[in-house]
Amino acid sequence: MSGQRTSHLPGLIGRDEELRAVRTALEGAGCVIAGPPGVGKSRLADDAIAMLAPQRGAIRVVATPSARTLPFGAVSHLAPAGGDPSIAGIIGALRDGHFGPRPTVVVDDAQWLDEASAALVLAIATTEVAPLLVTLRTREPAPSAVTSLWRQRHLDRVDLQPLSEQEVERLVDDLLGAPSHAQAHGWVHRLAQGNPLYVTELVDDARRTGRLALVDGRWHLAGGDAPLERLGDLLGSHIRSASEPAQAGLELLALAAPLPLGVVDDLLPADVLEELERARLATVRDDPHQGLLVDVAHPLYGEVVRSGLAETTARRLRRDLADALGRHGSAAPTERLRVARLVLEAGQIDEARFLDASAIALAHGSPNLARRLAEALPPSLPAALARAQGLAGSGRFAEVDAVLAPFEDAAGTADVATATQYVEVRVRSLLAGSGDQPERARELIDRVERWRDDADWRALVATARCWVAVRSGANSTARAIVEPSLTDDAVSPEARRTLLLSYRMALVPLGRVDEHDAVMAEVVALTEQLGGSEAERAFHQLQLETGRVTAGRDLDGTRTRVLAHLERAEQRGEPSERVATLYLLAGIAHVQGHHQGARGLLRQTVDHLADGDPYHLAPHVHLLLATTLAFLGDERLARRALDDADAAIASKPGLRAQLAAEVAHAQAVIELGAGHESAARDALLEVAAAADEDRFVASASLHLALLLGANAELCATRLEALVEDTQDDAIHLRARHARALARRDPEAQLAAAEAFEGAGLHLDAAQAAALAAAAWRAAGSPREATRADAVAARCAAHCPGVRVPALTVPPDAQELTPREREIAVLAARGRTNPEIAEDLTLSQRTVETYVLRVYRKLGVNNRRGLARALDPGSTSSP
Amino acid sequence: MDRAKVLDQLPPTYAAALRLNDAGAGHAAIARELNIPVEAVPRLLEIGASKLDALQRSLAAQHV
Repeated sequence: MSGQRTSHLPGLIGRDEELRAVRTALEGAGCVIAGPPGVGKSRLADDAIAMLAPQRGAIRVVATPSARTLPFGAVSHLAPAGGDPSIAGIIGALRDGHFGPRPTVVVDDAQWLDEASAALVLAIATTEVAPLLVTLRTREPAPSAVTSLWRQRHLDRVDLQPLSEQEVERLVDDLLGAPSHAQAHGWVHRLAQGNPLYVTELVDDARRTGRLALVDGRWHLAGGDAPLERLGDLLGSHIRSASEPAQAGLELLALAAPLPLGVVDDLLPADVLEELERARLATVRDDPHQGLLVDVAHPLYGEVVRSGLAETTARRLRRDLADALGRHGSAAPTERLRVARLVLEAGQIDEARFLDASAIALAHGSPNLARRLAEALPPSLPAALARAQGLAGSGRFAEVDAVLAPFEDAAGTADVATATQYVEVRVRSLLAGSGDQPERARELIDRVERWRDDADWRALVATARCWVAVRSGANSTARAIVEPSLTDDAVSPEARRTLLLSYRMALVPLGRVDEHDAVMAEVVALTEQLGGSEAERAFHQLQLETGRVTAGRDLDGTRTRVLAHLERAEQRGEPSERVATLYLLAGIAHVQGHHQGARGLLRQTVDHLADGDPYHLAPHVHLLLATTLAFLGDERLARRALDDADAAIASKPGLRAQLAAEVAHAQAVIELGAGHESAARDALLEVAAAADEDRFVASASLHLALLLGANAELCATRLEALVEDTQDDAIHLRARHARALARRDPEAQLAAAEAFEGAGLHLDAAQAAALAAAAWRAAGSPREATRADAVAARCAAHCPGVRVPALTVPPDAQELTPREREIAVLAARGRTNPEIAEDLTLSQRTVETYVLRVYRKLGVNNRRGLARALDPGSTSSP
Repeated sequence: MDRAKVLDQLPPTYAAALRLNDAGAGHAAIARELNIPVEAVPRLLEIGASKLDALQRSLAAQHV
């Protein structure tokens, strides 16, 4: 968190600023460190004292409840030898140096000092005979002499606060010895409320019971409800000090807090709630939306009590809670969901309540709960649909068809809303599968087409067929399928919106940006017309921005709008929206070539995937991260990200065909990141040849191949073909640059570079300008070369850490041929001749010949000199 | 990064103290609002400001 650690004792985390403040105070009269139990007062004091040693010693006074009844009980050990303790005697001993030269007097738990010892401490402060470091528990009565320490301004007072979430993350990682996932340290922070002692005990308990599990070098929240024994020991005495009725009341709160005060009054006698409040086991707060709510005073009380409850007791209590909440009849969706969950966990069944709650659970991003509610019901089409939607929401697509297939006949005769839902869920789930499932989706659509004959049903069938086409990468076919229904005025707004949302999936890869803008604007309007939520409208607006990002259009404006969307989503408390917005921000950075920024954003996105990924963005996120890391030259992590993408695609194998071009593109860029230029160039050309239906990937691959030395005329011709029938600004710019290279026209190349720069595509601009400079240099025009170098440098400054040949190989090394440059970069990175020969499928002798030629051209004698001459990857450190 | 958003990431007492201070509240008013001794306010503000500064630097480094 802060710049430098100032403690030399291990493990004091999140207290650097407090330590500095205490040390500063100890240069004068000293200070009081105040705070609740477990917040780290004594540890902070110990660290401060340790930093002063050996220049200055310390003498300790530890107050205890048992010693507080004895006058001078806490300081008797300070009395001169053979004498009774007295204020004058101990002050005199301090002044005379009996305890060493001006030691610090450390007083721990000063709230428990007896009056005489407290008077001594105050006398030390008033006479300034020694600096004082006093720790004090807040919210406990203290002797008046102690409170005078700060009230009479003898000492500063430092009120120690709980750790922030970031500080808890650092502490958790330190305790576990490895990084923790956001969900894991977030859980710890929520329960421990930033108290370091609780964090430490909770982490220890959770690791021991398996609630925290180490997976691939990172700690994850594995769940479970095993008892937390250490915390139980720590907090148990406080809980057990309450009467039995109060402990029973706490059990109710542990299962369902916060609860409306009216519900608690229904369940508990008034004196029980009063006792819980007095004992600080429960609190009553005024919520602006829900009125007076009763809650456990600390989340850990709930956790400890809950984990110690017998199952039969828990079921009984849940029944009581469900009855009481049901009697209070709140219609709010969250309350209906809570009651349904309590009924489910009490082992009871209520069909209407469960179906209602299942839909609410899905809408609130809890597909597992939706599924569990539906699975408890007897088989029926509504229950099967609810269960299927829960499975689909959890990514368990392979199980959906088995749940829904038995009800196909029933769906065919059901009302249109149920039939529509059936078709949508079953087709989507089949398309997420692999093997014969996409073909089974087509067969299903052929069957359901005969169920009805009206405009909305025809639109639904067209939508489903569009999904099939998009999944197999046939975007042009998808567009053709949808267009007839788009001109049918009889289609209802709801059916039209669903149709448009399928249509947009084909438009983006085809580069139809203007059309995509118009489609999404209509979707936003229809959503408002249909009474959709603000969150829905906001998400569709985000989808609109996606089209602009892939086309490289208005990137700065798009970034501003997406940041505003992120802020509004966080205000609405929707963490799952973070994934979509962070991914889009990363996409903007990536398209611009700001790969370090993209890397940071994508790492945050990956962390937040655990909060919820309702839009199934995980494969796209990992693929973008793989490409980004490859551009930064980190081959190892790029391959790991590609593996993560593969794992994400495996959970939804129907995506494999749809993402084939993106995966191949990422693999090719990783070759570039590994220094294998020629392999990367060839692979990119193959990607472009196969990606007819994804012009974004095809054009990006072609242009990058061109920058790696592919035939300029070939690339220009193919890019110009991609420009036809597309409204994508980036494709137009790439085609223009390719034509300038094919014409060997450095002035046109520089103009293309400046056009890239104007669109915010800084990496493309830097590379284009660098090539223009090289061309001018080769033509003997140094002044023009300098002009182009300036553009390249200006744009490259936006792309620190990126390792592409045009930016990492210095201008005077540009006289190397592409093969010589490729071998030079590999050699400079430490690859031996045999390794390079294996990498590039050449003979060792050929590699040796190339290496010697490179040495001669660059005027170096060895690999170290070569590395200095090339200085690969040093635009700045990643 | 927006100061208000960074403040949100501090422990609540520091964030509240700094916000009140930004709004021109005196130490007595801050102490009343946060239910702490007025003598604790100076160090609270000092430490809170240091943590805010450190957090801003850390967040800026993450976005590079």
